[in-house]
Amino acid sequence: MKTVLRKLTIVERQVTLNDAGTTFTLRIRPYRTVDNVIDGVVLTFVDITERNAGQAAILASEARFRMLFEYIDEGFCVIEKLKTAPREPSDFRYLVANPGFERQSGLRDVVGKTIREVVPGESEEWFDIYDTVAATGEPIRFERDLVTRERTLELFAFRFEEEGVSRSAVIFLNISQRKRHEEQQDLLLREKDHRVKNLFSIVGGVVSLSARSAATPAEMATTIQGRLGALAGAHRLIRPRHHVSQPVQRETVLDELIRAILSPYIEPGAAERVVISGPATPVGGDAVTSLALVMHELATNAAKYGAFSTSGGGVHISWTAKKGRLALTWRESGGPIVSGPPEREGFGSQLARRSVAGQLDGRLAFEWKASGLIVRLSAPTERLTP
Amino acid sequence: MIGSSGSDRVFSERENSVLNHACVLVAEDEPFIALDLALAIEDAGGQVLGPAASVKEALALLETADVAGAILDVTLADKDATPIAELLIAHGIPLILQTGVGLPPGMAARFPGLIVRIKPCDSARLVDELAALIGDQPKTV
Repeated sequence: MKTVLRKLTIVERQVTLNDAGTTFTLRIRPYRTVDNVIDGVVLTFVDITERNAGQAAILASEARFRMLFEYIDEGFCVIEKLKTAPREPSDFRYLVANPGFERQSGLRDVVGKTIREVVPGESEEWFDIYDTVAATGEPIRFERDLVTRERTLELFAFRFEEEGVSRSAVIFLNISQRKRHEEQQDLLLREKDHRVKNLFSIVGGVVSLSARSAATPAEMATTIQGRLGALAGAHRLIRPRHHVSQPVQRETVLDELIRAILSPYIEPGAAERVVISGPATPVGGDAVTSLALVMHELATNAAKYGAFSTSGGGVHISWTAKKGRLALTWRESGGPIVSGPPEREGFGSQLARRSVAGQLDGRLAFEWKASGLIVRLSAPTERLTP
Repeated sequence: MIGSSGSDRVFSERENSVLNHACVLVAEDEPFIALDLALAIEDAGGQVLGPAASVKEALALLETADVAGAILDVTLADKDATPIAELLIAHGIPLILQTGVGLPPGMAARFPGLIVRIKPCDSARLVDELAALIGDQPKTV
């Protein structure tokens, strides 16, 4: 009040009554009488409690929206259509863009520039879409490739009024990764479909081929069951593995495969009947089926005429994988005396031979020694895995 | 090994002369189907070139012998059978394609008259069909 009286100015202060929780503007003004004499001060109190609360709320709300703007994952921008002459291609200026804009689009420092300046060469369809939003006010959700940045965006654009001008806002996400996953899923399904179709044709082949050699329906059923069993055994072994470059890769190792196919012939307590020795050799894809088939046919043959047909017989399977070639030997012993090669090649060995030639690009050779059959398989190791 | 049974002889007697010693190329990488087809061709009195498991192998075999017809699997071990089909068509040799999964894109449009059968196919019927196509061909010396 002394200041007011000395300087003859107005002083304004905000005062808060702590117990009542109300805030006032206190204005102190010199009191001038009708005779133009200063005769004290005038104090006016205006209750501004509510006005303050309103302002605080606006500030808080603004801070919240600012936070949202800064931290959301989505890219966000406001664009305004440029005034263009008729027939001139339309363009839009970025007025605002949040940090998410750069993360999602890969475009930097766009504010103040136009779309054509920032991404020259993008499809005209972008402009058609924004033109439609600007003209009709209809919000639109769409998906498009941002070709120059090699990504796919999912966007939502809508029109709104600001400072008496109509502008558009765009919210968007980079969905390239999701797209890739969807494509991979699709690929997987197609591969599955392919395999199922292939299986039908293989089964068709197994049935008609087995019908040729069987004398009775019962023998045919056994032959088919055995062959399908070997194929199923091979399939069980190959477990899907995921790779970045290849969607699915199926692999097992050779000794596991041989053990699985020969398991019907490995009786408990007679472990010496089958001896398997060789370095860990990965096999996958078609090679698994082919090797399973070869092992099955050789075992079936041994059970009928060879080492598995007597109680004392056995098979020694050994292999090496050197200089890019797999060399596998199947050696039977302890079976009936072998009098020489059969008069005509059986279907089983023909099948095994063709499978090795066709699917493994290898060779299968039979040596009919008196002490037991020896079969030698040779194939490039690169054909063992897909 | 598995002995020969009476049933093949029945096959042979029934269809012995259908192919009349004609040589047929078989390209098929699936061993069961390849062997069954080869035997069906022999049953019908034909000679088998192959079976080849890959395009490379089939093209190499075609260098060594003249064939009267061919039965090709569309998807072979190395790639699809288009190069073999092209070569055969260029020489006017009849062929039948069989597939479990369909034709590669563009193949049907390029060769509109192509005979395509969906697996599983009965081998004997395929051979009969091919024999009919070969029979329709003008005789070349």
